[in-house]
Amino acid sequence: MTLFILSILMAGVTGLYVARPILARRAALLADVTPGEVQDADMRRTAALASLSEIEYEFLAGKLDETDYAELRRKLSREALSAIDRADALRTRRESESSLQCCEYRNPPGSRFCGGCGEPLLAADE
Amino acid sequence: MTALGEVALWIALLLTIWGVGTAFIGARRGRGDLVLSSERSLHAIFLLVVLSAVMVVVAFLRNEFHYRYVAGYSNIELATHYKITALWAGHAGSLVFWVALLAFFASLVVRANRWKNRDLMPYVSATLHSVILFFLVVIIFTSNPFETLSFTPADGRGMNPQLQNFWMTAHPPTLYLGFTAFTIPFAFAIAALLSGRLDTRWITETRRWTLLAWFFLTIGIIMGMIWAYETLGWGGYWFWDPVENASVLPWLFGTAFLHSVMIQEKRGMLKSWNLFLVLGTFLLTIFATFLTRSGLIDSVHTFAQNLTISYVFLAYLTVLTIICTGLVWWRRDRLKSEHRLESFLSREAAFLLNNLLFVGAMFAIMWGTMFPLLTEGLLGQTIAVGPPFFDRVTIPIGLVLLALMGIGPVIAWRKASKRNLRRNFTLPTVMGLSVGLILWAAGVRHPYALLTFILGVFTLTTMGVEFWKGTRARARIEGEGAGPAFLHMMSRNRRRYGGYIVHIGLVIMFMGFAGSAYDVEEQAALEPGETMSVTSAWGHTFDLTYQATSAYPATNMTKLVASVRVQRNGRDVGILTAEQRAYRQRDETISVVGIRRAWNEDLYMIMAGIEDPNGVIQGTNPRPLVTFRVLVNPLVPWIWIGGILMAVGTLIAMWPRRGVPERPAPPRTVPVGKVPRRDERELAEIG
Amino acid sequence: MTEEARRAIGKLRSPYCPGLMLEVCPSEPAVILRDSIRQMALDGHESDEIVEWMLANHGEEWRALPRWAGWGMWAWILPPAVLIIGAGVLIGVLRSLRGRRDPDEVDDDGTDVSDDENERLTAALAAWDAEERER
Repeated sequence: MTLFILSILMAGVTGLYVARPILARRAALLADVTPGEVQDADMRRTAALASLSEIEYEFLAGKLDETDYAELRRKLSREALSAIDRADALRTRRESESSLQCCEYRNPPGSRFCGGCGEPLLAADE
Repeated sequence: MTALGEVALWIALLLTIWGVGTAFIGARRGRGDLVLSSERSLHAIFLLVVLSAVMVVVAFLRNEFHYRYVAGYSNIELATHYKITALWAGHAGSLVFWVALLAFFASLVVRANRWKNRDLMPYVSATLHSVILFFLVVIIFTSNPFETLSFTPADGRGMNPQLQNFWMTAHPPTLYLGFTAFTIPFAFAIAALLSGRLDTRWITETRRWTLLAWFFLTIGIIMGMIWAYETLGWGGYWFWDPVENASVLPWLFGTAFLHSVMIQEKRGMLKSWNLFLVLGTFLLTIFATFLTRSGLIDSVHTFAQNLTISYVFLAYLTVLTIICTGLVWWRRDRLKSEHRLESFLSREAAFLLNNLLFVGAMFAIMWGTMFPLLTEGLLGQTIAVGPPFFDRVTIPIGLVLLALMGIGPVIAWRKASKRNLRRNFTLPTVMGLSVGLILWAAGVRHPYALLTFILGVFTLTTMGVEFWKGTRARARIEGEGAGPAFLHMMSRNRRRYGGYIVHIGLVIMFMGFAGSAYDVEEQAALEPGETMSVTSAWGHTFDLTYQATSAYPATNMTKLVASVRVQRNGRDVGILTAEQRAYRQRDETISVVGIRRAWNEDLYMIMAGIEDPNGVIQGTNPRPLVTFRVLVNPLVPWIWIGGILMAVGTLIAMWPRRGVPERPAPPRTVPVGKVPRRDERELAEIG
Repeated sequence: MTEEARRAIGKLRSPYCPGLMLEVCPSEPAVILRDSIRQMALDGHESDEIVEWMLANHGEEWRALPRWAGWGMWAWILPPAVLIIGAGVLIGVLRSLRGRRDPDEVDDDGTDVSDDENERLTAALAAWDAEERER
């Protein structure tokens, strides 16, 4: 009998815990606050900068020739510059285009009303 | 009361189905509430499975022998701590333990990703639920630890004596941690494929989890080696047993991935190859479980087997393979390389060669392990494949990898010049060859051992030079002293220098393996007072004088302890004991070896046989004839030292970065369609 | 122990210890079997002969190394074959990776980045460095 009661109790508690988001209409985020594209561009920028600073060490450690180093440095600089530009451009574009922005408040994706000023947001972003 | 554990398993099973469904529908329909429910279900499953595992342990502690599992693996007299570890002494319990660990990682992943990777998480949650679902089905329907007997035996059969020691307590949990943690990278890979979000982000997440899984798997495998060395009593640590092989297969794939992932992170190349490795590693963990559990192949691990479930695992493997292949094919357009290879002489190319060798070694070991089974199935006649086969096939690959460990770090990314290579390799080559010459002069003629030392020293030298040059470069650029420069260099490049330490550990381990070419073995039957001698490969002689054998009753068993006085080159160095333990409940006897450790060798003594053991126990025969097998194993301690270094290096490489500056994050749960509450607003503003 | 005996024992698995070689099997009957092999070697039998004798008595499954004949050959052929085929594939992949051109690759005309650009780079590097240092 105790076993039966405990089983029902256990099932009830877990069921309630798991079903609560649906009953209380509480939602998990379905996208990151920083859009995925922007994160991706940021990571690429970081990787490009890391490679650029790394060849400095590789050159000093004698793994690179003077000529190779100069050539590689030029190439990596160009790559890093374009990665920086791309990341910056993407970020500004996303911020200006975002329908989630109506004041300073960073609304989570999927919001219908702004958390800062209460204004309705036009359409769900993403 | 302990039956509550079974109820918990059933509830968990229902939750897994719920979790898969809600995660998928939530992701497809954009329903955040369903996704949250699915993620909560993983936390709930974790708690339920832990409860179930605890109930198994409680059943053991309370000697509830009406459970088949408890009766099969315990007895009243069994020491309490072994009653706890009995959870993983047999098949059914170890599966529950397995799922508990898997659910632990799943729950951890959900918690760690509350604010990030949100577009992947529904699919991660669905994948994790589905894997847990599979294991729960296996447990509940084929190997339920809560299965009861029609009668209650007065006492259980007892635990396999070979499992009653420290290393067997530690080895399975660590190994399982490694195996189960590989499910997380798999889940992220599937999530990336399903969501089509195959950019740089999932690979970063996956790399971290793979490193964690690799860490546990490595330690687990090494602990298994120690266990074999100290309890199987034949003087070796690795014997190419199918189950050992099975644990190495995912290790090799995971190692390949940890290397090739760097190419993707740096250069955006090899995306589909990396996916293949991540998916393959997980499939190999399932394959390993299949080999361990099926008992299709005879092995020392036969304490955990069940034939019916081998088909279930095989079916699961097949389905998974088809799904994975299909998904990769479906997304092949998004898996194109972003950059081109600039030179064949580059770090990228070296990593690819390393991958080829790892995958080749994986295949060779898998082929050798499966060969007897395949020939039996196809030809009706077993063609056996023993340890020497694996030695012959893997040692050459291992030696090339050993050399590559020294070559790789010195080759620059993108493009290296031959002149620089020549300059960088002069010192290591000279060092390696001179050590080779010295060893040759000292009489080392075994070709593999000699090669291992030459290549090992070569690699160690390049590593040393790497550390030295890195420090010097840092000191020059930042204007620091050597000490601070070294520490800063390490902490700024944890992944690289942690990796180098892992390599150093592996090289030392390889040298330890090479020592086995010079194992010496003697066997003699001695009466008390008689002496036998063994001459070590290092040249000194051990004289072992058998003193006496005495019997001690202990819980659950009777110990026969033979003590031997050891003299090294005629000088007393102490007493060494070896035991035979007769376990009452199982009517089994195992021997416990005596090991005298030195920095360069182990003196390893086994009590191979005793005349008239009953006479000794009853006290009627005080001077029994005892057969001793004595080995001198050079360099074995180096294997364990290498293992410790590997663990330390991995820890350094995966040590988390402190307080990553998070972007302003809103509260996770947002009432759908309502204005956020005041406290949530404040939280967001603070952020 | 004679070389012949050692070689014979090295080719056999032990019927008395699961998974172990006869060489290292600590069990009592294995010791006896090793002794009889030693004796046979002393009597002048060759290692292959001894192996065949043992397998005839105990069964073919105790052979440790597949024979270089019949189906047993496949055990030996496939692993190196896979490595060789893999190496071929690898070279092919490397070639194709090398032949391709990056869509956004800039031609290296030998000119350095402009001062202005260099300044931006230095700033970005410094910012990244500071960020890293904090962790």
